[in-house]
Amino acid sequence: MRATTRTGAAVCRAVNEAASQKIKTQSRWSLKNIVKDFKRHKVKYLMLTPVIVYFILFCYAPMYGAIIAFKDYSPLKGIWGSNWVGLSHFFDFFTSTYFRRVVGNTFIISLCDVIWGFPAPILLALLLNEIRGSAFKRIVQTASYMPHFISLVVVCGIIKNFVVTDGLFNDIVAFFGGTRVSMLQKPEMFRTIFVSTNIWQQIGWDSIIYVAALTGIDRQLYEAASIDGASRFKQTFYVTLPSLVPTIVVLLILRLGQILNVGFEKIILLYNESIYDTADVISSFVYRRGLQELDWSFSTAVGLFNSAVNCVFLIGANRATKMVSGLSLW
Amino acid sequence: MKRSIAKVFPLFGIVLMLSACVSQTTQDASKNKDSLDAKYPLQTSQTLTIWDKSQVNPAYTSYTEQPYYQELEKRTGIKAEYRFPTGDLHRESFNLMIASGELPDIINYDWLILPGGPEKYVKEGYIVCINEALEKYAPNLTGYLLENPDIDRMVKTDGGDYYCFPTLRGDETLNVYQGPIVRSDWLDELGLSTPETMDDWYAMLKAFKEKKGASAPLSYVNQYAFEGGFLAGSFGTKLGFYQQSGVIHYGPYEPQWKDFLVTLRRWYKEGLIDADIATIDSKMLASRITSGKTGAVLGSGGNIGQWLPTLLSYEPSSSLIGVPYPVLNRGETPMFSQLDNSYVFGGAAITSQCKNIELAARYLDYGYSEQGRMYHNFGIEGVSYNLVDDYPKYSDAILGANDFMSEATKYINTEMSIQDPRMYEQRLKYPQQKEAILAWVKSDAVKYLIPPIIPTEEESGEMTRMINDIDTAVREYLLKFVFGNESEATFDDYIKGLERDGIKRVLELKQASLDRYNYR
Amino acid sequence: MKKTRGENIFAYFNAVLMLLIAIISVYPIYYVLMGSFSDPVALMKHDGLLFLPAGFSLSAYSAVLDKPMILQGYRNTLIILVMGLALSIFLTSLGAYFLSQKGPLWRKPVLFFIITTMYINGGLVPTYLNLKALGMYNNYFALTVPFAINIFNLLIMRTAFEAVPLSLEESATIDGANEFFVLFRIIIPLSLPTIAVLLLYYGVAIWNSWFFGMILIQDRNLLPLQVILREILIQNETAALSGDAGGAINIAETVKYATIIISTVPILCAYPFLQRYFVSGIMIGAVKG
Repeated sequence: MRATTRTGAAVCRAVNEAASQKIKTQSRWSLKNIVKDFKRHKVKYLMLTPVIVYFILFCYAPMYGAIIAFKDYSPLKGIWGSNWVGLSHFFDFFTSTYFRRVVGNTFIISLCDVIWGFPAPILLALLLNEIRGSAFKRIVQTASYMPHFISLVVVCGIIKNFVVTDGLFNDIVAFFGGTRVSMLQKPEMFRTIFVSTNIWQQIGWDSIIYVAALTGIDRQLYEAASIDGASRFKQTFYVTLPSLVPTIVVLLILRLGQILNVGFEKIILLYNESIYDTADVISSFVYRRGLQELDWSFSTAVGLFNSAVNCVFLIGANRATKMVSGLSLW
Repeated sequence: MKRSIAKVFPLFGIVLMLSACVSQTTQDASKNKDSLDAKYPLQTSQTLTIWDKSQVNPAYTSYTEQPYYQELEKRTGIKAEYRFPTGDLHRESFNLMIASGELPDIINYDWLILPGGPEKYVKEGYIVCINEALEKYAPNLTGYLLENPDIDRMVKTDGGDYYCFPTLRGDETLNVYQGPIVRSDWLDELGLSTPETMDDWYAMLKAFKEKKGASAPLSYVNQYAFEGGFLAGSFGTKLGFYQQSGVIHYGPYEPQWKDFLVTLRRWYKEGLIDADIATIDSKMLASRITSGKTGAVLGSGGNIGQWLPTLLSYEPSSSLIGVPYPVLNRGETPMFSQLDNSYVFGGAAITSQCKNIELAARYLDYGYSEQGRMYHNFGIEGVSYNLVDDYPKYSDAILGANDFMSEATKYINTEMSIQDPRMYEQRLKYPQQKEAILAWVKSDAVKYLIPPIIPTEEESGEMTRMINDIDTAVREYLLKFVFGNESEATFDDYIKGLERDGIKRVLELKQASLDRYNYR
Repeated sequence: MKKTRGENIFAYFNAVLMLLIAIISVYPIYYVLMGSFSDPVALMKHDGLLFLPAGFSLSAYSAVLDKPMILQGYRNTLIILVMGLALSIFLTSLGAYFLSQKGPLWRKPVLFFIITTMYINGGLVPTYLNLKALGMYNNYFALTVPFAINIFNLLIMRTAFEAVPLSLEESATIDGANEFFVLFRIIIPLSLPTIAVLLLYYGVAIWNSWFFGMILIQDRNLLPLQVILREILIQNETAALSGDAGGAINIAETVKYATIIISTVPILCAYPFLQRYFVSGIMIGAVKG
């Protein structure tokens, strides 16, 4: 088969590689090959240069700062002048009374967020695609991403208003005969509230990229499919979804590569001590530590720990998607 | 072993700290042969640079247009170039400034509460000891400190050094601003008198619930409600540290804490406390008290001023009053109240990069002179205030403004000087506000207040993790107990948990700081 | 094309569902809009849903808009936006182009090189010192150049580029076009929907950003809009929150809402212009493989 797009080419290659033994020539990275490669792709490397310079200047240059995770950083002594403490901040964190709890909560909330929150925008994009009237479609789409612009403080204010004993959600519960409950004081309800309000706020905005991807689908593919007798539903499954897969793969892998990053702002705005058991996450825990004393070393150490775990998930997700779909980030 | 070190340590500490204050001004005085005449406005063309934590009044694009700064320059005779951190990122801005090493002549910041304390910054050479500068060039501040030895103690380091021109509160009434607030019209209607004891409160809240239909008779923001000893004080405890005869205690570690929790749980179970008490924030609290869902709250004098207009808009006969902190038995004085020290944050320090310490000191000392104090608090006579029978009354523009501070801060600055209670009085629009303060001030809190002690860097580092865990455990247990998810049986486990988290060590360390303070 | 009964039912339910979603999504901004026009005194006791302003009042808007800095804030943000978008799209395209090519030996290493920066961060102090040293301080460059590339966006663009038929590229090269031409005149135009999305993502990020604006800009004439709005908000909140706020009518709440409306309305106006790129029909007439 001949691939028509670069994504197609990637799938082809993956198949070929799996089929035949990978005959890795050790000389692939030989000096001769490197020079040849530069000569052959001269312009490409030239075009790449500003990008490399950007990352070096703005990302790699300050990276040495991460070393304060191993030091007892004091702004007065500076980064190099501060005392070396090795892994003590890490041990501090691992042996903390709340370590298991906050790490566990972070994982659980994040996984729930991925399981429910990742497919939701895709679903919305697909459903939007099915709307016939273009005016109605535009209105719904515009409406759907509006919550994204409301600041978290206001959104959480609205949420709190709804979950109190005499709030809207409890009114609905009471209407259906249930008992009123102060929802943000029940540890078991926090996850649901957090994740579902995340979806509410972000579903529209996150769907934009999928909507855009959907417009790039060749109409003729649909025509061919319907000629073959496929129903709308089957068309969605066999034409629409597959063309979204490259985008989905990239975004999913990247999302899993952020697994421990549960943003503290929303947590802090919604939680209280009675639900720390399920609501206290790594970032909120570190934040409270920082209120006592701006402990940059500790938060950097925890950040490195987060990054390490995130990285593992990134690599794992990449490998998994490669096995399942042949596509991956690298 | 640890105990003896802790006892020896303060003495070590003092020795170390004394040595931190190298004679700075003698070097400096030799540079400036022509010392300035001590009369304002000074005749000089030299300038100063200042990094100030406060903000430019938003009505002006630049501070150079603001009347306060313009007039200040005229009065002191010194031109100062100000820099302000943008927005509320002053902590980060400050740290970045320190890290970059480019310091102005003067920095006005929260030196007292910075981690490691002010001594660290002196030792590392960022700000200078101003003992000699005060003596030579700051007669006004020096005079005030001589007259007020307890304040003098507050603004020094444990080693006895001065490090900044402090922002001070000039009167006790400025230190109390929060306490219980009640719907007095409801009290009248129900024939109840001002509640004094816990039993009074119980009866009052029950009446609110049953007769006024209040769904949440008592409400408060759980985060800070008990730090001032509201309700807990009647049992002789509060959520925080206090001192009794020179010994540091931690309220939630004391046995009385259990009695307090039991009562709180009972009130919650009977529906006298807001069912959503853990979720409530200040905005929701305002909504509850102004809509009649709540009849008693914990709030500030300022809150009364905010809530009354809304209440009065639809119930013209309503009123909110401040009532004393409740006690257990009638006739007792409340043990605690919310109470600040007169010196809370810090002030203006002179940095090591200042080339003319005398100029800086004289510039800052103006704020502590008679004239300067009037200026900082009231502004320009004839413009922002007028003397009416010797009482500085603000102009109509300021008194009538929607937001007093917005208008007033065009002309006044509450920092780097001594705050005058007459300024505060006029900020309060309603008589109930002033009376509330009087009701709250009646307590023994002053006896138990911990003065502004400064932990050393080592102590601070050791305590951070422990205090955080202890605080979390205390607050979690409180809510769980009140909601009925923990029983008295688990109280001992809770205490043991606090000990595991290091409460004893924290008490030791804080005791060391207090001992050093008392030795000053 | 004949529509089955199932399809009709589905279309009906879909429409209802979409309508529900639209209503639920619109509510927060509607609430904010109503709140911004409310009288703060009346709004204070209000609880629950807000369908009409609680007592009409323009006090929130006058509190925000009468500040002289607002116009300046808009101007600065617009300048930063134009600069930033141009730079971002340019650099991101270059990077995505390289990463989408299968040929170069260094493709994977470069990818790792870039992804690593997502995981290790130097922290605020080194970043700040570094930016100052590079001259990224107190000017418009400070708020555009260091934030030009977002790696998520970069990888999204790479995906879009990879979907462009190889044959197009090949036929162009055969015709003698150089790679710049290929990138800018063929690949990018064919990826317009994604470019439009990235313009939106980068644009909104720039529009909403305030943190580095606060830290890196000293000259008050250069402050972007969000910083100024935040300052106004803080001013009002401090007055309301501080323990001894004399009696200020608490306009912090309504000002918060007015601030959101003021900063969101321009975005909502800009969106329809980009939306038309999401309409299908642009990508047709490609060479069949």
